[in-house]
Amino acid sequence: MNMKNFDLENNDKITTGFKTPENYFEQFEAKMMRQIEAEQPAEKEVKVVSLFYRKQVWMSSIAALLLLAIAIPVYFNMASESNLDATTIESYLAQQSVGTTELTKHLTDEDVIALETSLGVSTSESDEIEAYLSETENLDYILNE
Amino acid sequence: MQDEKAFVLELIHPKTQNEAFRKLLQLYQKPLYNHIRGMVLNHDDADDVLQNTFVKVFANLKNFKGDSKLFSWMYRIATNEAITFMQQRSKKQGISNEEVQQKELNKLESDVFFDGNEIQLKLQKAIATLPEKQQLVFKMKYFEELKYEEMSEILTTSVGALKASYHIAVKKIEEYLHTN
Repeated sequence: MNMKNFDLENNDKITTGFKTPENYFEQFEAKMMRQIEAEQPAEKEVKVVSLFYRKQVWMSSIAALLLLAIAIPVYFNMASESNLDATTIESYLAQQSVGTTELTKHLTDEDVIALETSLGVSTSESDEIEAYLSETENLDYILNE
Repeated sequence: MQDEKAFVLELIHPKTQNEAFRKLLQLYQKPLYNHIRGMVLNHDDADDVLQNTFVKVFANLKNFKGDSKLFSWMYRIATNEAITFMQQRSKKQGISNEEVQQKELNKLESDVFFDGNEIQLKLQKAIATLPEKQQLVFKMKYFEELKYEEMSEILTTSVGALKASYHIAVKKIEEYLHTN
């Protein structure tokens, strides 16, 4: 090509001469697709864990099944037993006089401590109360007041 | 592009996103690669910048307002990515942008992914003598064969100014080729 009469507009087009590796665009497309898939929220990716992978998994699945087999009937039995409506409970409570003794029977030590703290009764005070009560003859009478 | 709005919606919706993005890649990876390669000159850098470009495109699709065409929006991202890439390189090496370009030009002769002859190499050297914006305008018009209207949207410059810039660039390059 004669450089002296060089005319970019009218001469044959000069290309860049740039090349790319073979299959570059196919590979680039695949690479980008992998990258954007990795950037998508995790919920879309479902991790597949084989159940047969470890013996432990087997054992715990059997244990879980057994537990369910026992728990489900028990749960439904209990549910049907406790299937009492409010009026039944109310009439029961009206007929049966539930005394303090009966209630205290069900209290654990923790319950007592919790009660003491919520009522603001310190241990030293409760010792005094206990001492007073033990001196009183009709303990049951007072407790039922 | 058929219906660009519908396509953009496909690109955003999680269910259609992957297939739509594949389509986007197939449509634009080549022209965007050529655009970037023209700016950074060597293949490995062009590959990096192209990847950054598509990552940015993907991350910002939900913010794409449709004020411009998807095509020009992506070209703008690619242009910015390439410029940022070269600026980072010049900063890292402590040399000017022009020196970075000169270095890349010198490497071109031995580049396995450049099979240009003497005139092609000379043309690249001639382009490198132009101001940055003129280089970009020349490459986009002459090599990439974009329309002035498209270039106007990408570079946010008026068609008139682009035409003027291109003609000046052609003159300077011809002069360079006559004298060198």
